[in-house]
Amino acid sequence: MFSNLQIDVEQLPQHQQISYQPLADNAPIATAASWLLIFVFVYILTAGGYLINLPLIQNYPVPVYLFEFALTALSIYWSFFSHRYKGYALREQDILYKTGVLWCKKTVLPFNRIQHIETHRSLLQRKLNIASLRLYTAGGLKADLVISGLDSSRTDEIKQFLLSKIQQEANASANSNTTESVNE
Amino acid sequence: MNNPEWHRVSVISVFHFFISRAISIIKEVGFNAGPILVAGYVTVDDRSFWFGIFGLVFLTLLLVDTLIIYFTFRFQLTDNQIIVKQGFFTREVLDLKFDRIQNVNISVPWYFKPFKLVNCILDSAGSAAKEASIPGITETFAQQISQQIHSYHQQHNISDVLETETSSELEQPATSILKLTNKEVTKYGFTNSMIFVIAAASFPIVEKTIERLGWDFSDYLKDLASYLPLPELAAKITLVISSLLLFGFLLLCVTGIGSFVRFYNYELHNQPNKLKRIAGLLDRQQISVRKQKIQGISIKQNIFAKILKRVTVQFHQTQSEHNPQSKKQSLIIPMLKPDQWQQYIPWVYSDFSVEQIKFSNISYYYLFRKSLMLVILPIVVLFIFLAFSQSLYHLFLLAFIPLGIFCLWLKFRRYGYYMNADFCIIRSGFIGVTYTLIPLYKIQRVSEKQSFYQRRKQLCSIEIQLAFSKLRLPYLPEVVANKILNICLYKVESTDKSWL
Repeated sequence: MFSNLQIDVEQLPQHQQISYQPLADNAPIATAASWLLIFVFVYILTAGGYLINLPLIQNYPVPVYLFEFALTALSIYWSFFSHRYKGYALREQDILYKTGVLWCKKTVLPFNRIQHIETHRSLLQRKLNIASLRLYTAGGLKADLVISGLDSSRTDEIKQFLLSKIQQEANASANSNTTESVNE
Repeated sequence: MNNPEWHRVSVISVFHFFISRAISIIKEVGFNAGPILVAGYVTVDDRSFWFGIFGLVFLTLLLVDTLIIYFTFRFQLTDNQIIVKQGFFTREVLDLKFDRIQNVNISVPWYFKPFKLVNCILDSAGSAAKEASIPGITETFAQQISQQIHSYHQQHNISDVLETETSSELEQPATSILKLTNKEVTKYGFTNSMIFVIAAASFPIVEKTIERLGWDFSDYLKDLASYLPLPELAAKITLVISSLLLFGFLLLCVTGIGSFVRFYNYELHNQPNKLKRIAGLLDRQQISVRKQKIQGISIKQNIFAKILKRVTVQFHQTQSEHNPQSKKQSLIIPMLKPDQWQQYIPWVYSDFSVEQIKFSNISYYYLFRKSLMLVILPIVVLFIFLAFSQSLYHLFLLAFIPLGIFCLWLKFRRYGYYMNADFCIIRSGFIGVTYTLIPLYKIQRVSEKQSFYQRRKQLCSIEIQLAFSKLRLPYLPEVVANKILNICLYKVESTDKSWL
């Protein structure tokens, strides 16, 4: 039966009143290590620049290296500091992820829009027993939601939970299609 | 399928992985690496040696990466999904459910042809980033996979997979029709400002080419100026202006002719389930779009269209990386009068009621903040730096502040939104204007962003991801933004309509 009742907007579930689960304790180590790896590459490039006589590095090697060291230290500190501002939450119908200290970003992805799921475990993540969960929808060229730094076992649990939700959605959609075709 | 086995791909696929990885690296880092390479080329003395080393290292790493992908690549077919695993340092596991697969494309690249191998691409209902691609399998096996997926769709009554038209649909009567005159479609070409951008961007290349060919127009122009019955300076100015006008006219003719050829005898048929556009002079092209698959509608008016008092309506479909047809086949109605567009929306979204649309604006803090950060602060800092280092001669820089603020004001006044129970319209633009209409249940994902400054002012920006694009609304009051997101989520999560 068709209905078109008015919705009380205030009674809708409020995404802003959610308590988020923290990421794994090891997660900032992986982030800091990634930064460190990038800076090691930058140090090698700087050393290369010194050897091939790049004027800036040749004339001011100490300030350049001090600047790079300061950036490295800041990045590592920031990896640990920003960790406490990251979190995820699961509701009955969607998954939420928040990140950012100065620029906060909250993303909400409904289960019935997930196209596929990926888990990533880099060499370091495997050592730290953490993983990344990537969720894709039909929009965008990259993953729509990346939760990096979840416990490995928790990643698998969430993945299984999401897969079962997707399957339920697919079954519900198929039933709806069947009903529609019967009605026709 | 009780014991699904893990399959590997042919050794010839090493070549495929090598090419596709090289293309993807060039695409991903090419634009960023370009300036570094140029800087290296300019600063390094022994260029051939260092670039040789760079090339060798790049090719070696690419080859190692390719071999790792080949040796770790395997896939498994189960009753309801395909699982693809690859990678050593970063292990990727892709689970693609059959019900999510929209198309099974079997392509035969030239390097697979002699070995009778194919590349099987499983297109997952518009998810652009990670369609499963299985290269280097036999055609028989690819057909078997395709058949298995089709059977699954038939068993589970999933109708979206087949893009082919059934005979009954072809016989559907056209209920209404829109025809555009060839004069109008030629005018549409004049509204395409992209040709001027391309012309401006290609100017340095043209200049270099003329220089290489040794052509010198200055003598020719001097001779021409001497024939004009004007003083020398006036004659030169007249020649420059008339040359620019002539160049602009030629560009307009090119776009006008292009549009005439593309949209010749334009007809749009409104059938019960789809829209069908027939147009074209050399190739009478027919594009059909299922109404159910239209993800949103844009109404665009750039500065040229504004002069001609016309708008263009564009119906967007899902865009997919492996399905370039989806990008090409976005359906356009060019050259409608501004008050006409609302009457064509119900052709696609029957529940959209034509009414007086009143847009709500974004917060004034957008203008304050952007003016400060993007205009006032950079110009003042530059001015102080130049004033200290050189002289007060650079005082004229301050004149750019009102100009910059004016440009931001133009952008600010365009931002607006309208929302009812089922639809949202977002208005944006700079000199022109674009209205994007989306049914709420087609939204894929929503995000809320808040900077430190926005938090203090209780504002935030929202981002709505759709299957064809991403829409942004900056600087909304926090309460309003939360309300919009909650309604969007409610609509997406409570609907039983298929978004695809």
